[in-house]
Amino acid sequence: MRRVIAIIVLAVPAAVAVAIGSGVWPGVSALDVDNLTPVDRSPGVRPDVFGTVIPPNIAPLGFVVQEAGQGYHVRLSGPRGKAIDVSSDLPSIRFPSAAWLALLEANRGQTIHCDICVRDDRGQWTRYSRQTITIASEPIDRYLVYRRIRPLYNMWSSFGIYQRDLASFEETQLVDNTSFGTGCVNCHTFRDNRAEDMVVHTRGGTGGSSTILATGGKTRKVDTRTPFGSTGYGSWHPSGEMIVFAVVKVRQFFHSERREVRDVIDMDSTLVVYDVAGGRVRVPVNLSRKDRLETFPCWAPDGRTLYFSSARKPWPDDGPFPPKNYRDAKYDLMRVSYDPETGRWGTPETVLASATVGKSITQPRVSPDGRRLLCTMAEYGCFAVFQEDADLAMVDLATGRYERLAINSDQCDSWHTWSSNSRWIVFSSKRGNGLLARPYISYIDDAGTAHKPFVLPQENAEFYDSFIMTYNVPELVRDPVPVEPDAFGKVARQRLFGRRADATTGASRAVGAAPQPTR
Amino acid sequence: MDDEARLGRKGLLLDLLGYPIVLVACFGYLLLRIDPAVIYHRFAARFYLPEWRALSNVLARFEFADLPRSLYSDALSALAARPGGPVVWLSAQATECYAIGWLGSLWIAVAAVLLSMATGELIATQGGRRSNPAKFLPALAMLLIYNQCGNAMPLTLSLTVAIAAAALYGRLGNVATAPRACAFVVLLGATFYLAGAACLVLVLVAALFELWQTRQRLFAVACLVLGGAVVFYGGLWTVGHETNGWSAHLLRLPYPPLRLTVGPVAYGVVAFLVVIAVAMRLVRPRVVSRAERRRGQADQSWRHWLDTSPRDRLVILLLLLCIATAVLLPTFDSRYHAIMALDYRGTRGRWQAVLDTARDFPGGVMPTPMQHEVIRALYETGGLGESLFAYAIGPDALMMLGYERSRGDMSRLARTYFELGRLNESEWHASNWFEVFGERPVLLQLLAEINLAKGRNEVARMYLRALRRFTSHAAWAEAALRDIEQAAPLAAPVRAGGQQAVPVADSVIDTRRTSAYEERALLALLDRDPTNRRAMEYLMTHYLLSMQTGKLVAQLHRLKGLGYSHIPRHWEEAVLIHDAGADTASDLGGYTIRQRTRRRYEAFRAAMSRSRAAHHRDELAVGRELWPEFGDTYAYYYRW
Repeated sequence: MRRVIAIIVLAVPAAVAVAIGSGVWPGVSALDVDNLTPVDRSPGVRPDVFGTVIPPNIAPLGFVVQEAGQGYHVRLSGPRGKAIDVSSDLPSIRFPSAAWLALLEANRGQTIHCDICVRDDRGQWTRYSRQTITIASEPIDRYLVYRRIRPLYNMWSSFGIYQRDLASFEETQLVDNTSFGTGCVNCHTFRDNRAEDMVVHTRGGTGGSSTILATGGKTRKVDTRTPFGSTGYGSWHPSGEMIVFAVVKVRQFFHSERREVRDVIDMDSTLVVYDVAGGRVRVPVNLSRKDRLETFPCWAPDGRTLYFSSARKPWPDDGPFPPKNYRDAKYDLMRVSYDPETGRWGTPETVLASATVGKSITQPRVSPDGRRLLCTMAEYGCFAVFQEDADLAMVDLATGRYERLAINSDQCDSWHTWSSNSRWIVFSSKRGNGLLARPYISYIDDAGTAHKPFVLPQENAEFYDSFIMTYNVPELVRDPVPVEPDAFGKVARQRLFGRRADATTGASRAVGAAPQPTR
Repeated sequence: MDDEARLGRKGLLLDLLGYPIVLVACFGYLLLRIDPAVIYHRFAARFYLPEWRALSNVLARFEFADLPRSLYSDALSALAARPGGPVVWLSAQATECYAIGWLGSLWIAVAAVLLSMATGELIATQGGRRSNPAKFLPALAMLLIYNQCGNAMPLTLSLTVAIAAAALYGRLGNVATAPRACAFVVLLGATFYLAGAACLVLVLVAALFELWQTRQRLFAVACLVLGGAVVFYGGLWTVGHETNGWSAHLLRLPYPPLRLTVGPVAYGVVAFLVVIAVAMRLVRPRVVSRAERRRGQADQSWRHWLDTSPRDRLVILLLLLCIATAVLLPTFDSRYHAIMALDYRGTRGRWQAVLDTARDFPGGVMPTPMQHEVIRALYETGGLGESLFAYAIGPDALMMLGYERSRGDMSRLARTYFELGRLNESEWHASNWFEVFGERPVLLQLLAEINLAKGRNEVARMYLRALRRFTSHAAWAEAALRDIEQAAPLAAPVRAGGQQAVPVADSVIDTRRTSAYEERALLALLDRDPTNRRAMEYLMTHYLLSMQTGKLVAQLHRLKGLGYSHIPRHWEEAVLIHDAGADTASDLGGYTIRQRTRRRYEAFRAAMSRSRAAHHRDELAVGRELWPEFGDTYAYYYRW
């Protein structure tokens, strides 16, 4: 008798497993999708993943079917490789990672199809019109580094800089601001999409304002203070020998009328050069004019041209805040030549004037192949992220022509980064709800056209529905940042001693306590 | 049936009866006196400290030890992967039930009984009787924590697990050393995983057991060393990189805003258990042989005292209940409880209950946010102009300017701004405090409402989806989501709190928020929307509290458009004071001062004159004398 029971106990689950595996089990893959009559309508899904171009090394793009039903069946198939069938009682669809990546790899440069079927309460299936996703041939840099913060106004508590593996859903924390007394951490910058050379800025907390350099396998605090203030946005010279930083006197204020409450202007700003090896800050005269606001430096990949944004300073130094004419600050796209052999700077010239485009041009980022420059255009000022009309625009550096990207939304699109092969951009867009930015990924083809973007995929397709944090400054890197947990925190906690750098001589102490070992 | 057997059966019956009695007593006390819904409100909906100052991170970390499930940011898998996680998870589930008062009371009562049962078992393994009423003392200590609006659930569950493990270990007296050592290691690992650092209770009991029972001192020392090492290094390994102390994550001590600090109570409970173990062993009786027992030679040691008859044990149990009552009543923090209850009722819109609580508020002046809540309640019940000064309201209560400068929580003012129609200022304050306190339902709800009013339906949806995980607000959030789905996208009317949302005077918000700015903003609201009754009453309240009677009189012309049938009493008093000072008769735009107000004002003046003469112009004495009769008048507020 016991044997009989044991056999039954073992046999039933085995039979179920075999049935599921072979598709006999109802609702799994027994559904004959091809023979269902399709309705001539696209299914509602969120996030919008169809019609996009995706890299072959991206994690599964799940979605929520926004059609009422009792059961859902999705088939993903391509010209090559094994189709994926997913069945669910819930509208949230999640594809298995291994099968997804295999299908993408098998169909590089091809279009895959997605059939969505929904079962109503009478058991009848409806098949919606076939959807497509195009797989690009070129992969995207595998890691995305971003800051995750709440929709901050003028208080903050805890946030951090995170690193996401785009081929999976793994996210690791690089810097936790609570690890150094709830200070602020921002402006993470890499050299040429290389994770091993990174700089990050901290303010407040137990260590005070400081710049942390993670390079050469070490993490250390460096003194980039200037008489104008602390350094902010930066750009590495491709050689890794220097970093150009913007020093900004940033001030925030709040609107009582418009939809976006927050606003930020730089009351003053300039560019400075930090010599990585010598630990010195210099202020090239051409990059620091008293009557202008210079910010957002960006090196061209050849290291011979520095692009930046610059505006005439329309208010006096000692005026009220906010200045009445704060909307008059409109930034031009500028560039200045640099001779790496002699270290000489040329004369700044205007690449694209704000008067020409009628917008303020900020956040210039040159593509790694040097052919294009992507920037943000907004109504005024330097802080596009709080302006709904902020759009991305592409400048052809050979012809000087610019074009607003067709993928812009009616909400703010800004903070963009290039993939090292110049084929992908990631940018922060508030298109989802107008308040919180999410990272969107778009394919840039050889002609420079941006294709319909998709939001950074999450394991749970409903993740963004209730995730009340914004993704700030996404940066693509090829490898994971080689830093042990809390390495940045340990350095950030150390006090920076010594005198402020003399901007005239450029002398500054090489700084901080002992370097922290990195992985 | 001999006497011993009869006594044994009665004792068993009494043991069985003891737990239901304690269960019912705890349940009743918790439900009627404490109301776990108020505790839930403290943790989930509102904040921690008496005055709701901004939290330091250290405090927040401690506080987060007591979170209900809906507030816990870690996933279940993250909890399962760290020591103490399972108990935290269970505790979070239980605490979530506090939102429903009776269910929360039941959870706490059951946890108290479980702790008592485990303690009874521990006493039994240490040589005492399972029925010893002392087993209820830890549960009593836990109730002390609830008395202070704290949440003892994590500690109760941790200790229950640890004590049960200790009791189990105590049963291994006759087992050989090697298997016992293995059993200790297994129990230690399991207890550390389930209950975190509470496993130290097991360690101490095991060490004492080895010391006194088996007399293996080396083994006892090994227990202590191993236990300490597991807690210390295990803690460092799992949560050690967090700067605010790994210990807080391992031993879940509640942190209520106490006069009676809970830490000592918790440690006292642990000490009590250790004392039991020590005491049992130190005075362990001589073993009475079966032959001696047959001869009726009773054990004359202390154990005899424990082997009381069922009737005596019943008396002891009743005595214990009396002691519990005597301990619990004076340690009940009525002031803090009143603050929480008032806030809870205000959040629920139970305005009359808010006013009732405020009227009987114990222990002196209400905190500024509570005074602000009373102003809201008075407005909602139509009594702001009639009975404001029946409550102890200070000049800072309306717009909380000074309170903000002392870094107080301004989320309550964010609600008021919303109700006035000052949406961006509401969003600014609500978002700031959302950043400080995280995803609290009161803030999620407010931010959802603000964004609905601003036409940002997608943002509102996001807040509502986050809100619906809270038991206390789930129904409201679901209903609001359904409303949005049924309406056309972005079709939500731009109305806030029943008022048309309008911009205030300045297009840039004055973040210094001076009194003049607030006045200007209220006037701008009225200029844009003359039917904004709340703005009118708040403006007049501002003038009353800041004693600007002239400005109040100047705004009376707006009354007609707002449909007032008569001038509210306090405003009438202000007119009388103004007219008396200016020696004129104000133009009331067709309204008149009611006779009873005029008579009362005259009575006040006469009484003040008499009292001054009697007290030789000692203003304090005059104020004390007039308070009982005129304390609820504006004239009294104006003078004192």
